[in-house]
Amino acid sequence: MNDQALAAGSAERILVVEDLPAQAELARLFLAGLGYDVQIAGTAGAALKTARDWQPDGLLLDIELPDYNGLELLGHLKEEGSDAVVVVVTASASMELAKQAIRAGAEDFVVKPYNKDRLSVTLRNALQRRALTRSREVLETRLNRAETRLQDAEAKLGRKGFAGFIGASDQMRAVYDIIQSVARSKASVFITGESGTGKELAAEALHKSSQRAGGPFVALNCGAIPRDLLESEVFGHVKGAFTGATADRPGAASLADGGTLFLDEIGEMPLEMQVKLLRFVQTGTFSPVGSSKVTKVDVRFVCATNRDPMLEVQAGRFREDLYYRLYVVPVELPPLRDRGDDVLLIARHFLTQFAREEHRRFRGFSPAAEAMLTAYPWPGNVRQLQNVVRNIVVLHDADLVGPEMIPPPVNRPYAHEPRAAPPAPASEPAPAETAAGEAAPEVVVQVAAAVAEPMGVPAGLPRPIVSEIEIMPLAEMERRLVLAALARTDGDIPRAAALLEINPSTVYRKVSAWRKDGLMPA
Amino acid sequence: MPSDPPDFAAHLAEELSPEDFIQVLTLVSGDVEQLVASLETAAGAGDADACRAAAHGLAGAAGVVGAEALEKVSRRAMTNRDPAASLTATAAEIRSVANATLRQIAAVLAGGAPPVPS
Repeated sequence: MNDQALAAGSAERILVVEDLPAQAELARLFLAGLGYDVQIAGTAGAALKTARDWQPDGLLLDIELPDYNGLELLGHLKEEGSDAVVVVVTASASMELAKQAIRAGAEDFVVKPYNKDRLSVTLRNALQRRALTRSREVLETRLNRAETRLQDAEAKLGRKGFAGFIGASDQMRAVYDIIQSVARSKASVFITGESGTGKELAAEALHKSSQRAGGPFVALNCGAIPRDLLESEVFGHVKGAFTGATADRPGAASLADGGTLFLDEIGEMPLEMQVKLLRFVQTGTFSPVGSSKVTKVDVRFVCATNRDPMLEVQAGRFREDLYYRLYVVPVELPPLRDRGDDVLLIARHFLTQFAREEHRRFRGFSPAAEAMLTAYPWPGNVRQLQNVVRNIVVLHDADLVGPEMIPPPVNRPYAHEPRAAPPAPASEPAPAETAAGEAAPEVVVQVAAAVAEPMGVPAGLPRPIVSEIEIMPLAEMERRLVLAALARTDGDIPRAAALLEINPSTVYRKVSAWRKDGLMPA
Repeated sequence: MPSDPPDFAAHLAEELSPEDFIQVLTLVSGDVEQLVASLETAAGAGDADACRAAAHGLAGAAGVVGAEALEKVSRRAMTNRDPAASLTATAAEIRSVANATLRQIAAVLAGGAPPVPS
């Protein structure tokens, strides 16, 4: 019995493929004497069947076979994934065939007539090489599995970010997992979360992780577009469709063909437009404004809102049928105040980035400064934190950010109160400090003070600065308030509207009117 | 006509038990009989490919027992691509050599013992 068979306690299997009875029997006798378990196949077809059924460890293969060539049999075996070693038996006159067999995947060859020792050595070497290959493959497989498990563990335990997100909190890991899970699907995704939590970033992450990553990602802020232009922005228009339509123009739906269409602030979409969007979502077809031609596109829908979509449905502001079409996979982005130490991870990231951009020395935050950052409820979420860190970097230069560099309201003691009662959701009045660190006009603080002082400050909300209230006509107060909100949001009307808790279209309308009346620069 | 060496089949006798030796010689004898008959049929039909296939088998069978003369003429028939060569003449030559080999095998089998290696 051969060494391996002895060691394993079972004989290795050798299939002799030989059509001449005398040679087949001689091979069988030799191999049996060497301790192998032997079967004989007289044709290539029979050999293929036996190889499938019996799973031999090796084949002793004659090339000249009655039905088809031994090389073809070798090809079939390799195609079927057989890892049996093949030793070709050849007459000296067919050495060229033997070389071809080696190139086709045979392990070795023996020349007829062969004796028992030659066959033994050739076959044993071939089987040992196979055993080594198998051992290496097993080790590689184990190594790969171990590496995969390690990567998974690192991803779960230590992942500090994903596709542009920064954060290692359980809440964000859950978000990463959902994004990765749904990315490959074409299912519509509905992203919810307070303003500044990274809804567009999540939409982009979905796109980049999907099979559509090579296609376009088109984002459209439904709240930032006047309602009479929204249909054209989504579906495009043809020349002459309306005044000013001087040429055909594709809309977001066409531009996103083969990719992802991200409809941000979808809750701001007028109801009549929601009907058209529903048809588009249902059929994948639309007609550009001014055209009767139906266009079909392949688009994945990702929507976002900072409101509770179900509440919007109940309030009649969002169509229920559209809600169910789009709200297939919800992704809820947690507010920054619920993300624990993510605040520090993000703050350090921005500090490094802005220090590099502004040529500052900052390397980190002092413990006291970090305590302030982690205690603050961040009603404006990541966007607010980003602004605060930029404020610090622009106004200071040191190795460490100290508590004295933290701007109000983050540095105020009331900001360090327990977070048991979180700031109101976006549908509730936003705290006046939402965009701390930005150059907020004083009037906002004064108004907030005027409202907050007599009634007391709701639990969990930062207490505004108390200052003298300037009395003025209510319309002027409203204008100043809207302009202040626009200044604080860098002119972002949907965000300003969110701060003011009014519809963006109201802001558009008022701004247009003030410009017309000369109360605001054009 | 080439002749087989005096230690005809001696290597087999070394490597196999007497029973197995006899069994293999018997099988070789049968193979040679069958293959020569196939060769003659193919030659009569003018089927050169079938002639080459039978010659290939004969060369292999001859090699098993060390029948060098038979192996040599069989290989020549395998590789001969001369269209003018007479298949029947080749078959007749092989038949003659094969008969000699078969007689040697029969002698060994009749002796009841393998030849002593030289």
